[in-house]
Amino acid sequence: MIFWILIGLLTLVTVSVVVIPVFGNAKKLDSPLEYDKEIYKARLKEIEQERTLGTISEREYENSLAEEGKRLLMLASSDSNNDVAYKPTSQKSAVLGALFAAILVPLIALTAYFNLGAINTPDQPLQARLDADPRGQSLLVLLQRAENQLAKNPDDGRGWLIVAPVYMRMGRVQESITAYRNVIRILGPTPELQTSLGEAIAVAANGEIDKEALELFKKAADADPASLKPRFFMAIALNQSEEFEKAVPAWQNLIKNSPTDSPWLDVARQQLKLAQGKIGNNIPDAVSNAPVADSNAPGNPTAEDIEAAGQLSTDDRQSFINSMVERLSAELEENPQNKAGWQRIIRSYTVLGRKDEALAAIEKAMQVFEDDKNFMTELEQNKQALVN
Amino acid sequence: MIVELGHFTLILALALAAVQSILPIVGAKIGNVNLMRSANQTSMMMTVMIAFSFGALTWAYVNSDFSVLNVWQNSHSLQPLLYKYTSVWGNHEGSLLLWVLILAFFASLVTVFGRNLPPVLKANVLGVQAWILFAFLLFILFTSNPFERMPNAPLEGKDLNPILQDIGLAIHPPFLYLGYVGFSVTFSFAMAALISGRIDAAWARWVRPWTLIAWIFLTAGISMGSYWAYYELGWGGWWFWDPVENASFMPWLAGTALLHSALVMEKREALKIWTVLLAIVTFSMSLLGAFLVRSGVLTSVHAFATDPERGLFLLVILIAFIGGSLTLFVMRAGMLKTGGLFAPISREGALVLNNLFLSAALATVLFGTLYPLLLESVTGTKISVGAPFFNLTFGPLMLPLLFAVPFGPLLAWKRGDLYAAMSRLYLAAGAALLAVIITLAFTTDTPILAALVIGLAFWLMVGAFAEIATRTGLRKNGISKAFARARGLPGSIWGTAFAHFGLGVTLMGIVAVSVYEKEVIVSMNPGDSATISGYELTLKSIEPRRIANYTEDVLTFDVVSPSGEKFTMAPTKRFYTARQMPTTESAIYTSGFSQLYISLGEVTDNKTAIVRMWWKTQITLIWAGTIFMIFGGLLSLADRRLRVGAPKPAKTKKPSGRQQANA
Amino acid sequence: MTRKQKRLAGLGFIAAVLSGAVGLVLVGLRDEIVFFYTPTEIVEESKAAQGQRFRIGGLVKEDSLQKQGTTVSFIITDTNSDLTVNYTGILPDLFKEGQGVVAEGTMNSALVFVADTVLAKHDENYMPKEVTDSLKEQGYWQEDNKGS
Repeated sequence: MIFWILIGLLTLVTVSVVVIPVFGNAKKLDSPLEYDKEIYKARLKEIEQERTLGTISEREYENSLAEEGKRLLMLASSDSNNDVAYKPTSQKSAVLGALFAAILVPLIALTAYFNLGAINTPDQPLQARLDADPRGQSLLVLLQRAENQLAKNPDDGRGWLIVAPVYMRMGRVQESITAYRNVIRILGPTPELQTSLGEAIAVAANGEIDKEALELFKKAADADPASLKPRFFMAIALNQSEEFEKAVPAWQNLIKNSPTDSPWLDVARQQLKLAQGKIGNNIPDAVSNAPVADSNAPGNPTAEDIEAAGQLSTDDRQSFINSMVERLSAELEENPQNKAGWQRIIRSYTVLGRKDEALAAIEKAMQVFEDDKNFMTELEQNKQALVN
Repeated sequence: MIVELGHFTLILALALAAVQSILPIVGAKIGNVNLMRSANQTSMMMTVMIAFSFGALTWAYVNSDFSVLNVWQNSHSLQPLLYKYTSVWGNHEGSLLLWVLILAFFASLVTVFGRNLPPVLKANVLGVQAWILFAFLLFILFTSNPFERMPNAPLEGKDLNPILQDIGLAIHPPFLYLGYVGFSVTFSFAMAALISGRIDAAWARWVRPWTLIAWIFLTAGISMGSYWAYYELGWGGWWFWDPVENASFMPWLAGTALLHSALVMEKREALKIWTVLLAIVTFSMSLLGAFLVRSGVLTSVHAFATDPERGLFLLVILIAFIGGSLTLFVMRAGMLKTGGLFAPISREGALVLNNLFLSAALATVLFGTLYPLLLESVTGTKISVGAPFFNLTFGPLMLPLLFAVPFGPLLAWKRGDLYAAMSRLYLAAGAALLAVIITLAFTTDTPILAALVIGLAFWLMVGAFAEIATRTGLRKNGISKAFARARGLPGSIWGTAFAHFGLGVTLMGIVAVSVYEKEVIVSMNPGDSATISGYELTLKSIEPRRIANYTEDVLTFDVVSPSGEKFTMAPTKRFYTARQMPTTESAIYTSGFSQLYISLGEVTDNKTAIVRMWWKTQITLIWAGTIFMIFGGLLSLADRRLRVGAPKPAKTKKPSGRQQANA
Repeated sequence: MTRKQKRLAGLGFIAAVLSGAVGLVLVGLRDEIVFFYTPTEIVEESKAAQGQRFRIGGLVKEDSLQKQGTTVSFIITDTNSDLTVNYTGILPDLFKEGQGVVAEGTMNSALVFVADTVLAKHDENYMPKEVTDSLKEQGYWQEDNKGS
C-alpha cells in the first residue's frame, strides 16, 4: 500500500513541478541584445583592468576597445533581434503546454513502469535474509549462514564438519574437500574423516583414486581394522592400477566381511569378476606399464582410455592399443616437443614387438631433442636394447 | 521497495525528459517565457530523480540485494565496502546510469549558472540537452536496465570482474564520463545557436569554460585510465592505441581544438562556424566512443560486456545525433555571421594552426580506429591497426604542432611579430639545444631523433613560460618586481603556461621511457637473484594468503638499489574464487621519476615463478605532465573573466534602464 | 603579397598539411597494418608469407601448452587446423587451454608461429570477436549461451 502511495506521490510531485511554473507570472522578454550589452560592459571592465595591471599595452587597449564596440554594433545590426521570440506571451499556449505535460508524464511513467518494473517487489538485502527466522529457510540460506560464521572464525572445526557433507551432497566437491581438510587440520584425523576426504578427492577426480586418496584410505583402514568403506576404495584403486592379483583377494575379503545389505555389494561383486577375468590373460601391457607423467601432453591416454582398455576383450584391446599408438604418432608429427609422448610411443612399439617402428621413432626423437643430454642417453640406451 | 522506487524515478526522469525535449523549444519558437522557463524546473527535477535512482542502485549494491540481476552479476557479499560502491558503475548498466546522472547534472548546472543567459538560448540549450537525456534514458530502460529483478534471489553474487576491483577504477570512469558528457553542453549550445540562427555574445563566453570543464575531466580521466592500465594489467604499457583508448582520445583531441578555437571566437569573433562545427564534432566523438565501447563491434582489451541489440540502439542514437546535428549545421551555418579577418602570423593564425594539426591528427586516429571495421564489413578481410600505424601517422603530425606551441601565446592578436616572438624564445631554444647535446654526449644508445624530441620537450617546457617572463618584464624589472606583477597576471595566462609546460613534461616522459626502458624476463625460485638497471632483486619467498573474496600468492623480493638502499617489493598473483579468474598485482617502486616495475607470470607449486621486470625511465613524467595540464585548466577556469556565466546584468530586471545611464 | 595571394597561401598551407596527413595514412596502411588470419588460412591456404607480421586467433588446444622457463609453446586451433605457436614472455592471466586467444608475430622457416604478443581477454566469458567469427565459419559456435 505504501508503495502505491509513494508512486502516486512521486508522480503528482513531478507533474506539479512541470505544470506550476507554466502558470507563473508571464513577463515580457528582454531582447537578446540587452544581454549582449551586459556582456559588452563586462568586457570593457576587463580591458580597463588589464590596462591598470599593465598586462596590455596602450595600443592593444585602444584596439580592444574599438574591437568590442564594433562587435556590439554587429550584434545590434544582426537580423534576428526582432523576430518572433519577442512578442508578448500568450496564456493559451501555456495552458496547452501544461496540459500536454500533465498528461504525458503520468502516461509515460505508469505505462513504462507497468511494463518494465517488478511491481512492488520487496527489497532483499542479504543480511536481512540471513538474519531471518531459520525455520522455513532453505538449505542454501542455512549454508550461507554457516559460511559467514566460518569466514569470521575459520578455525571453527565443528562448523567445517557441518558444511563438508552438505557441500558433498550439493556436488560442490572442491569446497567439500577444503572443508574436510580444515576439519582434519583443526579437530585432528579420524578414520571416518579420512575416508570422507579420500572419497571427496576421488569424486573430484572422476573416480580416479590418486596417491593422496589411497594414502588416506590406507590410514583409515589401519586405524580401524573393522571398517569396510576405506577397504572398498582401496580395492577399487587396485583394479584401477590393474594389480588384479592383489585386487581379487581384496574384493573377496570385502564381500565376505560386508553385511548382506551393504550398498556396495553389487559393485564389489562386479569388480571382483572383472579382476578375476583379467588374471587369466595377463599379457605384457603397454598401457599399464607406462608412467603417468605429463598427462597434459597431447595424445597421452586419458583415464577414460585406460578404463576403456580395461573393459575390452583381448582382441579388441590389441586393436585399441594399436589405434592409440597410431593417434599418438600422429600427434607427435604435429607437436614433436612432447617428450613423454616419445617415451610412451617407443615403449609401446617395443612392447608390441614392432621393432622397426620403435627404432624409427627413436631416430626422430633424437633429432628433436638433440640438446637434451639426459633424454639422448635414454634414447641411446633404448636403441641399444632393441638392436641387441 | 527502495529498488522499485529507484526504477520508477528513473522512468519519471524519462517522462520529464520527453516534456523538456518539447516545451522549452516550442516556447522559444513562439516566444512564451513560461514554457521556456519550465526547462529550469524539469531539469532540476530530472537530476533529483536520476540521483535517487542512482542512490537506490547503490543501496542495492551496498546491501548485496541479489534479487537485482545487475547486483548479482557484478558484486559479491564479501567484497570490501569500497568496491561495493565502485561496482555500481563497474558494469555496463550501472555505468550508463552514471552517464545519464552526469548528463542531467550538467543540465541543471546550466540552469543554476545560466541565470544570465538570454532566455531563448537557455531554453534551446536545455531542450537539446533533454533530447540527449531522453535518448539515453530510453536506451538504459529498454536495453540495459539496471533494475531488472530475479524471482529467486541467489545467496551469493558472481563478483565484480577482478580486474576492476581496484581503486583506479573507482575514480577513472566517472572522470571520463564527466569529460564525455561535459561536451554535451557545448554540443547543446552549438545546436541552440543553429536552431535560433543567432550566436549571442554570451554564447562565445560560455562555450570556453564549459569546454574547459569537460576537457579537465577528460584529461584527468584519460590520464588515470592510462595509469590504471599501466599498473593493473601488468603489461607495463601505458598506452596501447587500443580502439577503446582511442575512443577517449578522439574527443580529447577535438576538445583541445575546440578549447583553442573558442578562444579565437571569444576574443576576436572569428572562426564562429568552425567552432560550432567543432562543438558538434567533439560530442559526436564522445558518442562514437560510447558506441564503440559498448556495441561489441570491436575487439579491445577494455571492452565491456557487449550485446548486438544494444549496439543497434546505440547506432541509431549515434546516427540521429551526429546526422541530425550535421544536417542542421549545413542548413543553418550560412545564417551565422562570420567574423573578422586576420594575418597568418598572429595569435589567431597560431590557433588556426593548432586546429589544423589537431583536426588532421584526429582524422588519422579516427580513420585508424574505424578502418578495420569498414574493411571487414565491406570485404570481410580482418586486419588490426595498431601502435605502429598510429606512431607513423599521429607522431609526425604532432611534432610540428608541438614545435609551434611556444610561439602561439607570444604573438599578438590580429597581427603578430614573429621575430619579436623568436627573440623571447632564446632561452627556450638554448635549453633545448643544451638538452640535445647533453643527451647525445652522455648516453651511448640514444637515436638522434629521440635526442631531438628530448630537445623539443625542453623547448616546450621552458618556452611555456616565455609569455609570463615577457608580461612581467622579467629582464627589465628584476625578480622582485616581476614577481609582484606575475601575481597580478590573469589566471588564464598562467593556465596556458602550465598546460603547455605539462605537454612538454609528458613528451619528455614518453621519449625517455620509449628509448631507455629496460626489460628482463626470468624464471625464478626462492633464493634466486636477478639484476636490472643496477637494482639487485632476490626472491625471498612465495607465500599463499587468503583474503576476503580471493586467494593470492605473495612473492617477496629483497631489492638493493644501485646506491645501496634496501627495500622489499611484493607482487602477487591473485585468484578470485567466485569467477575462477586469476589476476596479477604488479609491484612498483618509484625512484625519482623512474619506476621499477615487477609483474608475474605463472607461479607453479609455490616454487617457481616467471618474473617480468622493467626499469621504466622517467615514466611518471607522462602522468605528471597531465597533472600540470589539469592544473593549468583549473587556473584558466578560476580566471574571473571566464567564470561560468556572464557577469550579472543589472539586477536581471531592466537592462534597458541601466543602458541609458551608461550611455 | 596581396590579400588574395595571402588567402591562397593560407589555403595552400592547409592543403599541404592535410595531404601530408593523407600521405602518412596511406603509407601507414601499406606498411603498418596487420592482417588477422585463422589457423586454417595459414596451414591450408598459406595466406601469409614467411616473415610477414600477422595476427592469428583461435582456441588454445587442450593439453597443448608446454613450458620451458619463460618460453612456452602451445597450439592454436580453429578446430579445423592447428598451428604451433612459440612465445617468450609472460602469458596473460586469462590465458587458458580451451579458451580464445589472439597472438601477433611471424611464421618461421619451420612453420611455427613465433609470437611477440599474446592477448587473452578481460572477461572470462569474452571471446575475441575474430575468433568467434572464425569459429562460426567452422560451424562450431553455438549462439548465445548467456546466463549459463
